[in-house]
Amino acid sequence: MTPALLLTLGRLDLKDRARATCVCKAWRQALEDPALWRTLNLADHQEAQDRLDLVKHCRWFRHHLQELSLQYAVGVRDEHLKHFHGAPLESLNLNVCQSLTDDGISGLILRSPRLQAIQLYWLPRISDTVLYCIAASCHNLVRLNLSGCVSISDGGIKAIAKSCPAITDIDLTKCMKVSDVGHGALARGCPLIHQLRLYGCKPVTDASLASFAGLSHLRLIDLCGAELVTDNGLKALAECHQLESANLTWCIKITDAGIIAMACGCPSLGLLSLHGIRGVTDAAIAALQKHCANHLHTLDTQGCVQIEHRSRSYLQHVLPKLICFEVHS
Amino acid sequence: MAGKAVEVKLYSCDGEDFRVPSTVASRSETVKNMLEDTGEEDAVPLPNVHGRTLSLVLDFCKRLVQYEKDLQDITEDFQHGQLDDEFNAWKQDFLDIDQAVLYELIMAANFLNVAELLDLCCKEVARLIKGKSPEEIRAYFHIKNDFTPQEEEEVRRENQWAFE
Repeated sequence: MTPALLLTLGRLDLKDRARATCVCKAWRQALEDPALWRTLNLADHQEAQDRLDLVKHCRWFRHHLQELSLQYAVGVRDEHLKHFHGAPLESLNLNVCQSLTDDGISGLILRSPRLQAIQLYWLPRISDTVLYCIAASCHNLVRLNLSGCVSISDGGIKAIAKSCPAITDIDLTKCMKVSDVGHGALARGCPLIHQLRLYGCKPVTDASLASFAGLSHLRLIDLCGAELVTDNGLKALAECHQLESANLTWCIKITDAGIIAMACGCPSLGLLSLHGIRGVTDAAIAALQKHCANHLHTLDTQGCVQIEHRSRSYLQHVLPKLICFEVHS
Repeated sequence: MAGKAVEVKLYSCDGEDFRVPSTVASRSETVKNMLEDTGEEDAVPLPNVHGRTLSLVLDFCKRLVQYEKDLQDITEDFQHGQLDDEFNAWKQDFLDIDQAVLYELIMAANFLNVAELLDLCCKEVARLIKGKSPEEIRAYFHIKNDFTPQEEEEVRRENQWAFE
């Protein structure tokens, strides 16, 4: 009966779990199994507040909780995070919990040195303080999502770069206060980066890209809206020979020279968006045909008015792997 | 594979034979993997599952396959809700079983890896437990209280908050 019990009791609400613990020895043992307390997912929960008020009684979460997601949960406040102080957290998702402050998030992070993944999407109020705490505490961090944390700046990113060398994925979408100083520090401090998202980051410059040239593992880069970037920057980025995905939407200063360099340097490119770039012509397509035809499956040329031949049938003719023509809509 | 339904043969630990379309049997991931390994001609032995339980599991799989087929055939959106209602009503009847059988079903659904059935049965047990006191749970599931007085006092104290 015990295996069936384990399968079932894990689905009970917290109060029912506590009452069921008092039934008999077998039930108590089943309900104190660490497997039942490793994850807590209150994502999108409308009454997360009530659940979190109960969590404070469940000491097993403090012993065993590894994954906590409160993404989009309603009513999450700093005091609730205190219930998880001391838990062996490895993954923390606080996306869009906008009532949380630097204090609450920092307090939890400083007590969670095992964190490998932190998601803080769209928390515009949080500052570099949180990043300093991540740097002080989470030396095994692998994935960090700061998309929409518009108040963070170079200081915080430099601290992360210095202390979190294992990072492979980082999202800095709309982090407008992070300049090429921060980008450079990140590239030097986190050489394992695979995925780098800088969507809507106007401050990205050629100097940023020159530092990214050292990221030999880089597979994905999102530079949508990097309007300062020129061909020189792309020539540097072409050193990332493993690159598979490059979103260059609205990088309006780019011309054929930059795309040709990338096509030569990055033969594994599968996805490329040239959306809205008026400076590229048929010569860029010819370079892609020559170097990237084996992998390129997605190519966005909307608004590339100087590419004379960009009908789908023509593009599919010269780039036979193409199946998708839209990255940015 | 497409086209005519192939029949496969399953037999339970107490030697009962079942012949079902392979589309039905394959709702069990475990059986599906076995069929892929050995081919659909060979009978599949299920040494962990009793005939009466297997019969229930296969009833569920048949109804599930029927439901999914009906979903594909509908032309109007409102029919979707209607099919859901019918399936849910069927599930209610299906769950009108002794709690010992319910436990066996959970074990079988877990072993045979029929996610939809496991989910349904576990939810049912959780529903039966919900809101009940330890005494009521013991009475309902015929469970003996084997705590020593000291242990019981300790476990009640630890979980006192859930009784307030």
